[in-house]
Formats: sequence, structure tokens, C-alpha cells
Amino acid sequence: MSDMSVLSHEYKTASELSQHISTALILLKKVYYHLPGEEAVTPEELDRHRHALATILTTLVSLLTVPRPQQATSALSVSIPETLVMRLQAERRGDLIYYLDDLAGVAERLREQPIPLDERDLALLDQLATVADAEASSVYRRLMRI
Amino acid sequence: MEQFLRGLLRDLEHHNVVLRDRLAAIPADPDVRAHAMKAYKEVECIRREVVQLLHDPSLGLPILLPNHLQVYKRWSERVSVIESYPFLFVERYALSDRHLTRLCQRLTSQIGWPLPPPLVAAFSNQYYWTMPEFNIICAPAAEGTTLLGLPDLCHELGHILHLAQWDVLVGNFLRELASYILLEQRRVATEQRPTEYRSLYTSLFTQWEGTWLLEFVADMVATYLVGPAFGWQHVRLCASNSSAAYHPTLGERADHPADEARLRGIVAVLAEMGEADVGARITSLWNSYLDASREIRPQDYEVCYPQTLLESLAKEIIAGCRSLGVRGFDQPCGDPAHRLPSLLAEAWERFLANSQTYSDWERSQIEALWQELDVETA
Repeated sequence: MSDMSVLSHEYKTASELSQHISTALILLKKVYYHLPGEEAVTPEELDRHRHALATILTTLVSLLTVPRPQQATSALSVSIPETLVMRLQAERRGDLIYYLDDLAGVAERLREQPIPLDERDLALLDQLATVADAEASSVYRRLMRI
Repeated sequence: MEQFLRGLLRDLEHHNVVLRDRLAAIPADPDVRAHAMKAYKEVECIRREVVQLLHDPSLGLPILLPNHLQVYKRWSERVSVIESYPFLFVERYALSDRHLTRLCQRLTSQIGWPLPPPLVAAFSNQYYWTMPEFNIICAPAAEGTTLLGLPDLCHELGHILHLAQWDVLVGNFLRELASYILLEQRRVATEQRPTEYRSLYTSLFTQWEGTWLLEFVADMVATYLVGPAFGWQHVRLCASNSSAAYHPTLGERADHPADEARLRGIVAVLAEMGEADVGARITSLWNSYLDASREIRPQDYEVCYPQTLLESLAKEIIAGCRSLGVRGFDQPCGDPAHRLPSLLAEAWERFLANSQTYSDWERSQIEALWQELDVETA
């Protein structure tokens, strides 16, 4: 097979991850800041997205913490592109321990009810959404040869 | 930017309407109906989400702007991928595509394929490839006129099966792979090898896990389906357009594992299925090819693709395929005269026995095949 098949696989993973994070973050912000449209967010929808986001964060912490190959993908509950992990490792080289601590804290708070997030947590999630967006866009451009 | 994003969303909605309507206008054709419907549904689903966002009172708020832009990008990309791949497959479905699609339909019915048959197009400029999530395969334009390359269609089927049945096919293999890498990393310490080797092994693991495993699985599924024909075709493909047979080795990066290791994976499946003799014949031809190509095995190559791992994976793939009810080349059913795996096997044996008379035989077989499949010839 050509590289196309591999890229198609990579793009699907990166795109779905980015979409999950951005969509969940929009809902969380609507509720936290009481934005217009907040009333349309159902508790079930919010629950589904915050739990999914918490799982993504926990998985990411695990991938960034445990050196490979002790952490094999088959044991993980969500797919996170290896390149995104590497991107975060490079970007956060100076403060990785604190970053992991922050991610784990947000994941924990996302599982609580009511959600005790603060602006700092949302900013952290925004940074992650930006990295996931960049990763998806990068694979997309390779797939489409742009 | 808020107004611009609103404009982009309206433009995307319009684009979706155009694609949706063109998909709806495609004449009813049983070969493409399911794929057209799937693309139609997805385009329409995204269109509705776009409309919903356009009516969302939070659209335009600066605090959500980056997130709305990200969501827009994913939708736009997705629509673009649909337009570039499944949409083209169904809107431009032509006679050469019908040949390969019908052939694939017959093959999948003969092997007890547990998934819907894929749509196959014959306009690839990148050899064979697949987009498993859309269940489409693309092949070079003239593949419907030869039998020798068709085993590679089964490699693409392997990718599709892998996406749908990852757990069944790969099972505990990743843990075994992880154990192997950890063992090698410990040897770096105990045998006082350079410490840089530790990170090389980590990189080796991520390559196996990320993409190499996909290729080994697809190769092994193809071998399970059509047997030695896939092994012979692997040698043919390498001889015609391969890069170095031992690339990548330790410390090198590539999306595909080394061709030499892939051949050993194929032979491991053949041996496990009782065809060690023909596996040895393929290996013999391969070794001659390597000699003629002046290929030299680099240092540290063996540690990248240990034989025990390849054999273990071969056993997992065979067991996985059997548990899914997929028939291997060793479990024929139906009239032998109409079995595609048998036809591909015979094609390769005839080609190897006498390449001079082969093309006449191949032509007659292909003509008969298209008649059987009720596809007119060009």
C-alpha cells in the first residue's frame, strides 16, 4: 500500500481527537461563563463530553508520564497520535512535571459534580485544543498534499 | 474575524448542499449505492451541524472564537476528504472500476468476508491504497488486465479488516512487542552498550505500534487469503519499485517496515498454514533478488524485526481470521473453477513456470472472468 493508507489512518485519529476536545470545551465554556446558548446544553450532553475529555486527559498524562513501551496503546482507552505526544513533550520540556500535574488535576475536576473548574483550567484546555488542532491540520495537509 | 467565520460557515453549508445534491443525482447503481448513501448522510449531517452553529447565539463571542474556528476546520477538512475520495469514487464510477469492484465482490463472497464489500476504483497514481473508514480501495488504472498484481488488493482488504477488528486480529501482540523492547533496553545496560540505544528502542517501539504493525497485519491477512500468490507478488513489487530492502533499520524512520522483514512475515504465515515448502521457494527467489540488487544487511537490523515476533504475529492473525469466519487459502469452498484465490495461485505458478506463454493464458482467463462477473469488456 502507499503512504495514503497510513496517512488516512493518522488523520482520522488526529481529527477525531481535536474535534472531541474543541466541542467539549465549547460546552464547558458556555456553562462556566453563562454564555448565550447555555440553556440549550443538556446535562446529559455535558456529562458525556466532560467524561470523554477527562478520559483524554488521563490517557495523555499516562502517555507523557510512563516511558514507552511500558505504556502500550492497546491498554489505553482513547487514541492519541504519537506525534501529538511528542509535540507536547517538546513544547513542555521545561515544565513537564507541572504540566502533567495540571492535566491530572483538570481531569479529576472534570469528573466531579458540579464541575469545579476555574479559568486557569479552561486556559489549559484551550492550549491543549490548540495543539490538537495544529496536529490535525498538519496531518490533513500531508494527506491532501497541500 | 467573527463575521469572516460566519461567512466561512455559510460557504461550507453551500458547499455541502452542492455535494449532497450531486450525490443524490447519481443514477441508481447497486455497485455504488451504499457508498453514495454513506457519503450523502455524512455531508448532510455536517451541513446540519453547520446550520445549528450559525443559529447558535454564542457564535461570534470572542471567548469561543478559537474553538469555533477549530470545529469549522475539522468540518471543512472532513467535507474536503469526502469530496476528494468517496465522492469521486461514486460520481466517476467507470467500467474499469466496475471490473475491480465486481471482482472484489466475488472474492469477498468466496472468503466469507465479515464486512460489506469495498468499492474499488482504478485511477490511483500511488499504486494500491485504501481509506478503510470509507471502505474504498484505489488501484492503478490497468490492474483489471492482469492477475499477478491482484494479491495486493487483498493487502488493502487487510487494512479494512484491521480497522474493523483490531482487537481480534492483534490480540496481545502489542504487549509481547513491549516486552521484547524492554528486554532489549535492559540488555543495553547489562551489556554496556551506548546509552543512546535506549531511545532508539523506544523509537522502534513507536514505529511498530504506529504504522509498521498496520502493514504487517495487512500483509499477513493477504497471505492468509491467497497464500503463496501474495509472497510472489511481494517479490515482484519490490523488484519493480522498491527502495532498499533493509530500510528502515534501527535509528531510521519510515511509515513502512523493511521489505525483507515483510517477506519473512509472509513466509511465517505460509509455514503456519502448512506451506513451508513454497515459503522456502519464495525465500530462495527473494535471496537471489537481494544478491542481484547488491543489498547488504545493515548492522543492528535483526533487532528491529525478530523472527520470533513475526512468527507470533502470524499465529495471531491466522487465529483472528479463523475466529471471524474468514476462509483462508487452505479452506477452499465452492467450484474450484470459479475460485479467485485458486485462480491467483494458478496464475503465479504458470507465470513462474513459463512467462512466455503466460500472457495468452492470463488474457483468456481475464476475459472469461469479466463474462462471469457480467461486466462488459472495453
